[in-house]
Amino acid sequence: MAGHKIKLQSNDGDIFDVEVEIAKLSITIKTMLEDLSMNEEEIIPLPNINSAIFKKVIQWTTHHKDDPPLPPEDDENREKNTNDISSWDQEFLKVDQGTLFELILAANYLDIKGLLDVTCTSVANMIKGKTSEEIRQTFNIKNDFTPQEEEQIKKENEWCENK
Amino acid sequence: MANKVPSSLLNLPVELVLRILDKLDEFTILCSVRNVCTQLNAITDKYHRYQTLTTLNLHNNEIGDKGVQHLADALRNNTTLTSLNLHNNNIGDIGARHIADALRNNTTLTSLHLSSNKIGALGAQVLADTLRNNTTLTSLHLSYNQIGALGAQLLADALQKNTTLTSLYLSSNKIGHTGAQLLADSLRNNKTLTTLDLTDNRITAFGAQHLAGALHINTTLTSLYLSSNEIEDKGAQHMAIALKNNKTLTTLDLSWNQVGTLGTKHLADALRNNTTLTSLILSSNEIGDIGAQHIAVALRNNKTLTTLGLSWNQIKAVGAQHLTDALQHNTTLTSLNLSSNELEALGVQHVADALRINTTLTSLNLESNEIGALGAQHLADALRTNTTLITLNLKGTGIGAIGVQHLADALRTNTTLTALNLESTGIGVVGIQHLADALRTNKTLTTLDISYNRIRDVAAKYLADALQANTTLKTLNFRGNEIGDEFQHRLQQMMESSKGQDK
Repeated sequence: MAGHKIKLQSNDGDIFDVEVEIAKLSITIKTMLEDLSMNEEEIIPLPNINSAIFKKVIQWTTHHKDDPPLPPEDDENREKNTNDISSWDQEFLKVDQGTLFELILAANYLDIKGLLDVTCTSVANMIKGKTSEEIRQTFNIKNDFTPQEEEQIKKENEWCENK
Repeated sequence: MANKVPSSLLNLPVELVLRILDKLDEFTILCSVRNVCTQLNAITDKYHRYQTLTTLNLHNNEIGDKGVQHLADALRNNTTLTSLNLHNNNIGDIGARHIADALRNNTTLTSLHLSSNKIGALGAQVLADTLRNNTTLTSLHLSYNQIGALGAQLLADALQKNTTLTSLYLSSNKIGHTGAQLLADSLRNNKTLTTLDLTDNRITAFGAQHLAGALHINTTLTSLYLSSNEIEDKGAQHMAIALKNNKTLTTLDLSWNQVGTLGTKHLADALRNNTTLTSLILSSNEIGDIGAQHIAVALRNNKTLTTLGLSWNQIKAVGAQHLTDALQHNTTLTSLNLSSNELEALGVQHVADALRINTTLTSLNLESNEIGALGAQHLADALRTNTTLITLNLKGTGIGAIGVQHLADALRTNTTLTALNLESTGIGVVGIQHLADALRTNKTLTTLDISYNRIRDVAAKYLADALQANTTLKTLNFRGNEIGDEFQHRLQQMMESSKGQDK
């Protein structure tokens, strides 16, 4: 089994040879292989993922292929905010924000729980300890509250900064 | 397709934004995610953790005035939070102003803890201004805030208008007798406040007089805490006069007030006719045997008092005899605290005599009385027939191995006692052995404290072996002994599995 490879195609047409065991970390691909009993010679298209992101995904799954399986998800452990990220993952996630969010979308589409967890945690860590205004700056979000609401918040800020 | 629009936080499907929120604590959601933009507000509005965020406990953080500002901004349009705890957060008058401003628009928060900050009189002023119009807040904790007499005055003024607040905690604020007087004045008109805590505020007999005067008129206040002030006999006398007329107050705490026998006599006289007070705490005064006698006389007639606190009052065997004679007739008192008095074996013999007859008392605290093995024997004898007592505290009573042997024998037949405290009683290996044997058959005791008894592994093994057969004991406190890691671990595991069996 080891070393056995399948072909996966990104949405910009590149074809990747990936070890079956690594590809199966994606529940989406695993289901395709098992439930649809796809011919292993067939090229599996991944219409939602471009080559650059898919390379990152393969890099992550290759590094994490021997991780113990994560406990089944229920509402309780989903909300346990264990926000420690391993140093390898921290290095891996030193990417621009666009890539980070693409990775979240890819992890979600491919159903790779570990990658989804660590990317969401990474965003959560960017939010922590910031004020609403700092959040807007960090994520380039426009303040779209009505002028009255905005005025109120501004007044508050001035008052505090004068102190 | 996703790759045509540059990905950003707000372009993520809602489900994935919620996954990110799952990784954040409540404080961050409230203070960082709220009020960034309308879209994030719409998402959090539908997020179950935000919807169900009713209690936010942020005590002992270093939030400070700046942090409170963000929290206050979030509170403005929050409709979930009912309880906010900001105890000990280095919040000054500026921070108090932010909260007060937010409370003007907020109609959800009912409980606010700002104790152990430094809001001062200015902070009290802004909160008082808000209280005039706020109709939601029911509980306000402002203990340890240096609000002084001036702060008390401003809050007192607000209480004349406010018709919502039911509990106000102002302990350790140096409000003095002036502050007490002004608060008392407001109690004459206020018809909402049920709990007022004025512990440790340098209130003298003069302040007590005004509070007592208000209690003649006020028909709402049920709990008044005046512990650690300076009301003395004179203040106690004023309170006693109030108790004769007042039909509302159920809890009165006058601990640490240098009340002597005379003050106690007045209070006892009042208790004879009072039919409302259920809890009277007179700990750490100067009641003595004569004061105890006065109270005993009252207990013969009183049919309302259920809790009586008399710890640290130099009560000896004679005083105990008076009290316990009364207990043979009294059928109301359920909890008696006689800890840190001077009851020796003889005093406890009187208590034991009462326990044979009394069928009402469920909780007895004899901590730090030198009752010795003989005292334990008297109690054990009583426990063979008593079927009412649930909690017995014998911490630091010097009963030793022999005393525990007597108690253990009683535990074989007693089927009522559920909690026994034997901390620091010098019970040793032999004592533990007796206790362990009793636990093999006892099916009632759920809580046992044997901490600080120099227990080693040999004794711990007896206990662990016995507990194999016992499934009733849920809590065993054995800290401060000399038990090795192996047995500590074993005992802990036994308690955890014992608790697990209830689920």
